[in-house]
Amino acid sequence: MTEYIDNKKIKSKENDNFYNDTDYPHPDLTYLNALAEGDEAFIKEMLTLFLDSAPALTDSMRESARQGDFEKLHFSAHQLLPQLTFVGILAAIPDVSKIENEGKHMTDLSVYMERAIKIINYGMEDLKKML
Amino acid sequence: MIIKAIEHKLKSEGHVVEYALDGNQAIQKIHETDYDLIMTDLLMPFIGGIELINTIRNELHLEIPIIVLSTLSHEDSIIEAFKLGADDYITKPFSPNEVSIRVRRLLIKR
Repeated sequence: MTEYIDNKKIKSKENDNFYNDTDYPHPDLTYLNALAEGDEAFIKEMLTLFLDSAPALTDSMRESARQGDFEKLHFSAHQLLPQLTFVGILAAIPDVSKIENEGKHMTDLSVYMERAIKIINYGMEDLKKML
Repeated sequence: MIIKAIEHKLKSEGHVVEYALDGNQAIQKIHETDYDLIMTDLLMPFIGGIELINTIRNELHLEIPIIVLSTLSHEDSIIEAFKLGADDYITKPFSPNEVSIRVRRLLIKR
């Protein structure tokens, strides 16, 4: 069965990857560039901050979901959300926002979690190339 | 990252910026330094923004302008912050110009 969100194919039985390696959403640095006002060092500092902190936050989300620690899940998602905006990994925001606000009550939490983390990981690979 | 972004914006406009990584650090700094304005998130380690505002207004009796950073989903918390004495709030993600204007507005009134 193929699932769609906003008319975009998200998952199919034939392919467990939500996106293939070439059509995933790339980071949009419009917002960060506006903040930076031409300061390239600031941009690199922000990207480095994100790349340093995001893996721990996604790990924390996974682990706290697994342990049923929804307070920690909420806090980790809350910390991650603004960072995603800064570095332009916008496609992960709806899922992380849903996890932040509804994580405790979601029966399909792992679906949203894994999709968000996959998008974030793809985004991180792009961002690493910018440093 | 939010701290860095705000720091970058405000420093570029000539403000002197200090920051704390959690509510405990914030209170310690407030005890030590006479700040012109405080900006706080609501969700922080150890002591949250609501408790911080309560401490500033009702224990330390300081009238420093306070801006709250929050998301719109925390509407109830924003209202509570205002009841405790916060002066303004900025929603995340914020526009850099919005941060600038709101800070300047409160500093002018001071």
